[in-house]
Amino acid sequence: MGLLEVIHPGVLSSVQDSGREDYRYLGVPKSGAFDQVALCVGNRLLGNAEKDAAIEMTMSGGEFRLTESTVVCLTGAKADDAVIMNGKHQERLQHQQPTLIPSGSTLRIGRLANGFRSYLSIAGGIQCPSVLDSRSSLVSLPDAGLGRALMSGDRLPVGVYQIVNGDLPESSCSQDESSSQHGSPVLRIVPGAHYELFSQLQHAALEDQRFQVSDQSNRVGVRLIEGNISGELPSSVSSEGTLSGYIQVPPSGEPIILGVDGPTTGGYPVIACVIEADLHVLAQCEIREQIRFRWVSLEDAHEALRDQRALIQSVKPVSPEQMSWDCQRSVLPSVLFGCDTGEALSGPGRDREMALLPFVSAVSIACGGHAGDQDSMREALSAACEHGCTIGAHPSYPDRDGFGRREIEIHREVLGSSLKEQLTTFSEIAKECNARVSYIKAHGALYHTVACDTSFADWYWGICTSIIPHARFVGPMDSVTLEHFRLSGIPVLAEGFCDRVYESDGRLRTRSAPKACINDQDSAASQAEHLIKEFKCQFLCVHSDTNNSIGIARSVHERLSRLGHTRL
Amino acid sequence: MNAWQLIWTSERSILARLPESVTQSDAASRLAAWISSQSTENIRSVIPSATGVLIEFNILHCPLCDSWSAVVQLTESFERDQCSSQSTGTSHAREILIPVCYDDLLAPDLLQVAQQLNCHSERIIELHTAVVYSVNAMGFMPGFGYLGALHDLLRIPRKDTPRTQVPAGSVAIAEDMTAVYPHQSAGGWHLIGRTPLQLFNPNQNEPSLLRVGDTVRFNQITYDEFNIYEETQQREDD
Repeated sequence: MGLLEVIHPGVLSSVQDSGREDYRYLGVPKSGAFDQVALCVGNRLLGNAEKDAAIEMTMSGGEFRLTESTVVCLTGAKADDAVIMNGKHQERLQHQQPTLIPSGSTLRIGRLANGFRSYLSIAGGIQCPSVLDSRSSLVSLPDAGLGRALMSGDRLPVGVYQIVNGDLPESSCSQDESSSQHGSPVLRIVPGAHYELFSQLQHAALEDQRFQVSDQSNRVGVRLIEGNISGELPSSVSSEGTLSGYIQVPPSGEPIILGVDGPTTGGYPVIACVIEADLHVLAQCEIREQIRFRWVSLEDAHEALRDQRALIQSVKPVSPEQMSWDCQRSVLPSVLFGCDTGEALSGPGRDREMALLPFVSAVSIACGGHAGDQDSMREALSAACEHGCTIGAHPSYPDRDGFGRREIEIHREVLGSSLKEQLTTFSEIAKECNARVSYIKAHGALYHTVACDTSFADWYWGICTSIIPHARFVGPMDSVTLEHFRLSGIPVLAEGFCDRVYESDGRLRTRSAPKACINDQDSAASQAEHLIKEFKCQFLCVHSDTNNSIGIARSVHERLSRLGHTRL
Repeated sequence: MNAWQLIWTSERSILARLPESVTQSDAASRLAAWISSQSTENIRSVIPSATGVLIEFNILHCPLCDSWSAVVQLTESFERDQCSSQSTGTSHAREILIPVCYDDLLAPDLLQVAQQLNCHSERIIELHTAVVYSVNAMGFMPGFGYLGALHDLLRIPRKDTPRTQVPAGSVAIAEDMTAVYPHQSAGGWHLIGRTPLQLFNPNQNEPSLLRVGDTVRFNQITYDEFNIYEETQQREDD
């Protein structure tokens, strides 16, 4: 099971789910996410149960690390700046957009704008122990044994991502309801328990004034100032059960709206109650924000909740295909620059591989087919992690003598079991190293066979994904298989070589032909730019055994930085 | 005829209030227990207090008129059940005995209260332990019971400035009520003693020692007894 580690909890973050209803008669507040709409939307987009636990963040986000690859989603108030950081990569985490993130990624969520509470949902939900049938934290009373606010160093178990076969959402962003009402929130209200004890003037005063949210507001209650219920107020009433949304009027005349952690009984007169459909608006009211009230009928309050429910139910989970694409856009830099490693165990070859690492953002690691063994894989993986590189598996025909670069006669079954063995060994070692395998790129002759033969490629990719399910396919930019996979919804990366010459029709000049390789670093950098701009390459490669590979890597890296394709 | 006065307190809740003429202190808690024992799928929560029962509905599948008629039927069937079972005298209320140490070490406000009420602290202890209280409402925090009614001679307004840290187990008085703080928290009542009992533990089958409708008596223990009690409880927890 993966863990969410709290690096920094921000102003106030806590685990919240749908809350605990069944113990209110013992004085236990309901708790749960203050903005239940945001919680439901986040969970639905991920294919979770609506009531699953998420992290509620107040006023600002926090910084969290996820040990395993998973899918996350931010809902509620929008963060000014939310980024996913993984090694050298740093990309924005889009609001209300389920995003597949690599293991070991850190999420840094900045100040919240346009709202007060934001929710970080994680596939499978947060799985901290449930107490009294809920994982919600009663942050106002840490001694009660019902959870507390998150602190740096907390580690929370998270659930497992269940692949959803949901319909593609028409637009996952159409559910912007919770924040769209912002600007000047109007809370709809219905008469409260002691409505009759207040005068008509006082009823009107609630609707006619603007109230300001005091900085003394929290999950227990939202205190209002600047507006006032004046005149003679009902004297004390006997203590009776309360709900969140109850608007109490204490002797000062400044109303208090009970929140989700509010007391379960209260002795102040209650003039009105915020309707259930608007509690999420209350949750998002910012300190010092001006709010207003509007009386509605009980029937209207019911209809508002039904409408809201229909809107929530229109939110469908996002399928993994859709997410992988999002991932390609949002997690990785738009272009990966990679080299092959783990091919040389010692000597100048190995030194060259190591010297390339500072300049590349991805490494394709030999899995023992054409080169490498368990030790070299382990070494290459830990070096890649150290440099924050995206990691790819680099399987091959089992042909060490030919370095995997020649077409060999091999039975499908033999090849299949060899590929399985290569990828299984590699992914197991990657797991040991806490590294995520993001893509699979075939080596040498196998790379070219896969590229040209779509039915062979289907068979090959079936084997690959049976071992490493969420990997992306890397193939030649103009190959039939790349197009075939793209159309089938398989996540792909189009590759181009910086150190190989392309014919005018875009085909790669074969290695045996004269002047097939580029050794000049400036030409390689120009070719890199050309491949990105003209051929829409998303993956550039330099071969470590090309002459001057280090010079090429440096100048390509510089060119990509200048073009804004890599960020350190 | 329905003895209960029903009112909407929001679009999702109905309060069943006892008419003021009814003096049975546990009528509301018995109604709450009755409602909870009936199969009522659209009811979200039932909160009893001294004077009424708040019933909250899951309104998505329950139109206004259905909620209303459900409460009418429940209160009526409760009254019928009460009439038929009165002879057998069934009651779910329990009597809870709470040991309290009134030693100065654990009663930071006792002397001051005595001064303010112009009597000896022994007299305060005597009056506090003499009364059988009933749990009128649960609230403020998990496991906190509002116990009434305090002896007339002990009535004292809340403190002007609330304490920021009241220790768990503190026994307190204010106005016509007394209570035990289950958890360390802020609080504005006068602290006149402390109990070694744990009033709320979410990991137990019965999380709360108190429920609305229970009766409560306090009995005095010495400082030594308090310490022995606490040690035994700690051993049990280990």
